[in-house]
Amino acid sequence: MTPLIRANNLCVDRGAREVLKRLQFEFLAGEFVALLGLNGAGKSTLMEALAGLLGYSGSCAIEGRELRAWQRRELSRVVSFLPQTSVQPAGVPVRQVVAMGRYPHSGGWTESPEDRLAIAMSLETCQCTALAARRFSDLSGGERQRVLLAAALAQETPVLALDEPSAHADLPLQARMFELLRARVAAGALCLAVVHDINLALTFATRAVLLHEGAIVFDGDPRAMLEAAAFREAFGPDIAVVRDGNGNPIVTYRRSVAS
Amino acid sequence: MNRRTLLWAVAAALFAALATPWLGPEQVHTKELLSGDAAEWRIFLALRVSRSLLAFLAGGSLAITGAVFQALLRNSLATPYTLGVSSGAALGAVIAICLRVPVVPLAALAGGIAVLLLVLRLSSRWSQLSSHALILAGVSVTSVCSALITILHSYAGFSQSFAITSWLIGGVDAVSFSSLGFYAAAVLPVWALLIYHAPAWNLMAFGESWAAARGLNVRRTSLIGYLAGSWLAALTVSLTGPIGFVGLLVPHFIRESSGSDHRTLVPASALFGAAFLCACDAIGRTVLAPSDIPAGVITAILGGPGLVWMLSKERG
Repeated sequence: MTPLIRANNLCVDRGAREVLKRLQFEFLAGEFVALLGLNGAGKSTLMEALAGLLGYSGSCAIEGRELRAWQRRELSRVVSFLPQTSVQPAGVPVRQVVAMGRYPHSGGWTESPEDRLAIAMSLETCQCTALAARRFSDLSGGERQRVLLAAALAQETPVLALDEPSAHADLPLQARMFELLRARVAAGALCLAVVHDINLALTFATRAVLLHEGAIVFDGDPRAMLEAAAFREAFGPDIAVVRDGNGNPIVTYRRSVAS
Repeated sequence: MNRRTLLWAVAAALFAALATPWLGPEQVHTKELLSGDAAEWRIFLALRVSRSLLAFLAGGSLAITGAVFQALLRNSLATPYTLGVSSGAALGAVIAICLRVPVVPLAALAGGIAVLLLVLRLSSRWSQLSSHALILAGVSVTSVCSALITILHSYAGFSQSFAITSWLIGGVDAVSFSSLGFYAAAVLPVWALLIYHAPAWNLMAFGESWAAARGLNVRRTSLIGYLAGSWLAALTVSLTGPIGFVGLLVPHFIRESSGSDHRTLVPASALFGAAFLCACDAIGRTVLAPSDIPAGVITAILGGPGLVWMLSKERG
């Protein structure tokens, strides 16, 4: 199987700072990759680079074609990127936000029947149908995140690059979001998600990529990551792994105020 | 897209364009006009119709630019003048007035364009046309231009000082049909361009990485928006002086009443802006007739409280 994304010696600078250092990876269709690491490790930079928003050196190819050779519009039909932060302009109805995901296909003036179907389906999958007529800026943080995810899904791309998709989401919502992403992956998509909650990654991801100071220090099975020395090194000595009744690992913080 | 808002906008614009020429300090001799009196028609066209048409195009240009700049800069307080175009135009006009050269509009246009190029150059040097850099560059250039205007103003003679003051207030006056024709030919295609890019303004209002991730060429589209809007603002200011509040108030009003879809907002801003400035100018020349209050004064008097009222509605 040829990889959807293949990077070789991928380096990204921001200003004078070298943020990503000689990354090497291959991502396949049908993988759910959780991107883990501390703040400032380079996770968001990697996402933005894969979305074609940053300059880079080395090589990074999507569908066998070097990233810098893609036209913006073409690339956005293959990679749907959900940025970590977005602006909340006043007065935009939810449906219009989700419809923006169809811009790469339709150009934004007209809606084809496929566009309408994609919008309706993503609204439904993200449980936003009831919100469709409300104004985006009036929603709660978690609702907004759901709507933005729906827009990213409406783009109907083989690659999803999501920077903290579960930010602001409550616990059940986080699980629902990751379940629906898992369904996309099962249908053949490649999903890359920056995740801060390691337990979410353990539960849903098929592969964990751990970034530390701009380098990939672990790449493999999420549970195997817990045993890796790189994991302890990145997250520090206070991270503890306990087991639930079924023997599944749960990552927690060692110190507790209560005890 | 909101068809009802667009229909209302078309109706308002048509009504303003057709009704305002009949309003003014002197009664229009309707009977003579209807009987086809050539002299009467000439006066009516030269004094009233040309003035209404100028107000129409100027109001539309300012409001459409305001709507686009607010999306591009992601700042609801952005106006056509945020990038400093009007201060450059004002400086050009004031220099022309002080030197007693009779090409004030051309000097204003040159000043506006010079400042625009300077601002674009400054902000692309710091960062790639980011909205912060543009606003900052616009604010600094504006303050320098205002200072220079103040200096020139203080050294100007009495009649020039009067001319400077009245130019800086901004108002609509009768213009020749040839300048009006040139103005219309220069702004209407740009209106069409800005309307055509409406889906892109929708994306830009959500931030640059959001827009780029949906497949928009952000740098190119921003540049089109800034250049097109500033061209409208510079041309308009060169003919009318810096009329305030139209570019701020009209897009806000539409956003408040029918939401923020630029496919509606941009064309409706042009049409409502046109109607609004026509109306303000008609009010200015009738309320205290025979004295003529500049349209810029009326827009400010209506605009200040209007904005406060709208913001209080937004909060409440």
